[in-house]
Amino acid sequence: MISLAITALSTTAVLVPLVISVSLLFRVSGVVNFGTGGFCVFAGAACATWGASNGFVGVVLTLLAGAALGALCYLIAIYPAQRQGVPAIGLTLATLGFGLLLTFLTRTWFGGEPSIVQPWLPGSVTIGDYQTARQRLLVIVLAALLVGLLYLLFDRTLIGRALTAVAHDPELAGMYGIRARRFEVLAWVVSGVCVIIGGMFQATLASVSVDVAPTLLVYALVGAVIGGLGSLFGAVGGALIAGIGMTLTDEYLQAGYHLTALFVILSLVLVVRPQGLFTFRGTAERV
Amino acid sequence: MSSTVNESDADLAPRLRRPRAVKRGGGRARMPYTWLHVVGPPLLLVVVGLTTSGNEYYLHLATAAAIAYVLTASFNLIYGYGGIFNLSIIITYGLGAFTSVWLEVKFDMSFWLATVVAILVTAALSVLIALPSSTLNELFLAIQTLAFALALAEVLSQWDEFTGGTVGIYLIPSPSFFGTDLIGGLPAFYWLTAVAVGLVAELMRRIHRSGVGRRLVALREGPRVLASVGVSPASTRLLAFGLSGAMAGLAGVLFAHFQMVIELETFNFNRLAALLLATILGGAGFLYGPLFGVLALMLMDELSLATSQAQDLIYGIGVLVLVLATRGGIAGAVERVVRRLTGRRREPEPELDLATAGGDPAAAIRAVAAPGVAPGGPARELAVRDLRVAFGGTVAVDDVSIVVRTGEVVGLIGPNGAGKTTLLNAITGDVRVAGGSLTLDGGSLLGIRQQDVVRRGVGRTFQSPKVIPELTLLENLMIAGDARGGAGWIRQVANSPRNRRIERETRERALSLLADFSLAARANHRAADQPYGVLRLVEVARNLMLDPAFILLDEPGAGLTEFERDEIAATIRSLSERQIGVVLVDHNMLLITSACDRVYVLDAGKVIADGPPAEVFAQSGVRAAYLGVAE
Repeated sequence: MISLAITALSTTAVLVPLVISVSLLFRVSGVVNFGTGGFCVFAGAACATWGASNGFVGVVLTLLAGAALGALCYLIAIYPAQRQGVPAIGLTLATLGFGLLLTFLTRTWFGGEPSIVQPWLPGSVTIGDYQTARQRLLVIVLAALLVGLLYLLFDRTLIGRALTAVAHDPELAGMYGIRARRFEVLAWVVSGVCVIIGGMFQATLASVSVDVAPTLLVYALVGAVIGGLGSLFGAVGGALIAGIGMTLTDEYLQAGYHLTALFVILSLVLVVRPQGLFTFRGTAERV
Repeated sequence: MSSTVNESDADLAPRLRRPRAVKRGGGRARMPYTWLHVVGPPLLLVVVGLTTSGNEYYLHLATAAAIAYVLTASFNLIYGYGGIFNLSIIITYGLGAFTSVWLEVKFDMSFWLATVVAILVTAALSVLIALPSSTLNELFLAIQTLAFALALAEVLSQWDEFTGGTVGIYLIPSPSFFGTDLIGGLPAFYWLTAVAVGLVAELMRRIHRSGVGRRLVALREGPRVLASVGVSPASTRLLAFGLSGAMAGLAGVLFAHFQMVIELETFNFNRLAALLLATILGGAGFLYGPLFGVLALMLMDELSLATSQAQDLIYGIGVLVLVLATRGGIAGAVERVVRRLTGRRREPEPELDLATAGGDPAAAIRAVAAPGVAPGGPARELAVRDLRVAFGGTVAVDDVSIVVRTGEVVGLIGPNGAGKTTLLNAITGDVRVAGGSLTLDGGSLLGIRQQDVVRRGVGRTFQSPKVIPELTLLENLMIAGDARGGAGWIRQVANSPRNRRIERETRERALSLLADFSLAARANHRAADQPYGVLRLVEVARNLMLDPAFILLDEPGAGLTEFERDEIAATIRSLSERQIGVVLVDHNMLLITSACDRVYVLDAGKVIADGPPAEVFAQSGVRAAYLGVAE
């Protein structure tokens, strides 16, 4: 039982940053980031390569790269297209293009092989008669910290208010003196950092290779949709449902059917509650 | 109607960067050289076949390109025409490939039978995906179909016998045709592919020029219009999914027997990106888009082969540039050039002047409208009793009862938010009714889908005119005729004699209606280029195509000039002379008093007064509700 709970939680912990990233961008820019998988794979490979001698340096460099890539994606793929009045589906295509470029970079800079990041906390702990890697627990704790931090940022600061305003109506926000464009860039930076964190989590627990980019993308998208796009609460809830669903499928049905399980959950949610399971009045409105 | 009124403020974007509609499918206007479009594709296929048959590499490229055309045409059909971003098309393509091979190997089926079965399987699968996703918007549909594609790939990868797991399936038997083996990569197989491609190209041409093409474009540009002219958007959607699934399956079958070795890995994310690239680069929604797209992509692939293996890089840059730079892709650009060369630039909009053109809409309607409801025929009655519509806790329409008979003009007035439009929406089946009854000649209309309400004789116009901007005025009217004519899509695509007759009759009727509204000169102009007043008339004319017994007009006078408003008033009067019952929602008191026999006043969802206009406006309660005068 405890082993199941920890597996489900650590799967969720990897998904949480990815789902938050997708959800945030959808809220602020109206874009579904189809490049998410490319970001993750880049993160894993970069962290493994740059942190080969010193893990901490690798993590810091990768985080910085994530922030830069988020901003870059906005400036290269989204901003020019927005100015041209390209509709949402076109912007989504543009993120797909950016994701392909990232995959190319990952391949040429770091090679196409699966990359593994050495655990930040080596060793294992025993809880009852269940033994697990310390890293697994660390990832769960870090994901919870990230959620807390983002909650404070979005819900308790003026930055969060401004982001909400920009998400609702950038023109109106502009009339209140908010520099909408600047906050949109900020959202992409935060989102880039989040997705990079998710990629690093994944690389410390399992491995990440170019081939799994589409799979990670679908994890993130499905998690975001079942939780309800656009709220932090929904993102965490969606990630949790996806994590539990995948773990239970492995345990009780058949191993290796993660995507199928997610598709079934997604279809059910879209039929029963298309706005997402965790959207309620009040919370749904927050970024 | 020479003056032009701009779009009302209600239509202006609430967000600054409201997306401009992607310009797709501009090439629908006319196809003057029909024979060229019929003979062209087979001729091209024959020429390519003859010139490449000496060189193995070129022959390989030609066959691969021909198969890619079928796949791209399939995605062009569903996304370019129908506007449905179905990302599961690649796995459908793969399923076609594996299914045919599995049937041949396991059940010893012939290639031809296996092909038919595989196509049926992929079409059925495609329809199956369409069912649960019918209410999703573009982005959610993309997510849903992508998740489906990856899930299906996961399931198939575990079914070793079917997909050969990670190794793949090899030693695929070659099809044989009267003793000749058609071996992939040899000229004989090219000719097999060429026949299939020729058939698909002809199918696409027929879809493009028939009512099916109009319906698909209407589905993309405005599903609400489809329902309001009695065509079911849902079944149009299923048709798009089924047809494109079948074509993708055919492409898969050809691909498997061409390669003779297939593995699941072939049908991956990169292949999907390539397909999107080919479709949009070529020109989504254009008949020749897939042709250009496939050629362009082949060029890019050769480029990445020649430079290195940086397919990701080339595709990535390709997508980014594409999103920015293309309006209508290559086919769009080619069409613009052709237009310039043939001197058929967009003609200036001809002046419309009702007074001098002799076009009196009133006379027009007297002349043609509603032959089904001849004056003096049995009167029909649309009755609303105690109708109630609630949104959450807000009761928008509260126990409203109104009755309209054919030949009457009934006004529906009230302050903003009184529930007038909601009442119309309830009558046409657009919103759910919480209580009360709604009957047409005693038969209930409750729970009937919008398109069926229209078919029973209750038409409507919208507060801001809803037309399909990418279609011409003539085509906009013909969509309504398609619903009424009754030629099924198979007949339309096959272009049977019956369909030709119906098509001709529909066209003539639409033209004569346009002429009656003095719009004949603009029949072949895109609706997107027309001023507001014209669109209002087009909406009314579109409804007349369906011989309605009742028309519900939602603020027809809004945003019009005084003169245009007089035209509308005359139009309404003549509608009632033709025994059409009219429900008129408007704020203009002059229009209401001059046009209406009776008036109902709504306030906060309730009827507060009814009767002849003069009596009603004399009541103090009405004045209070409307003008804010103290009671």
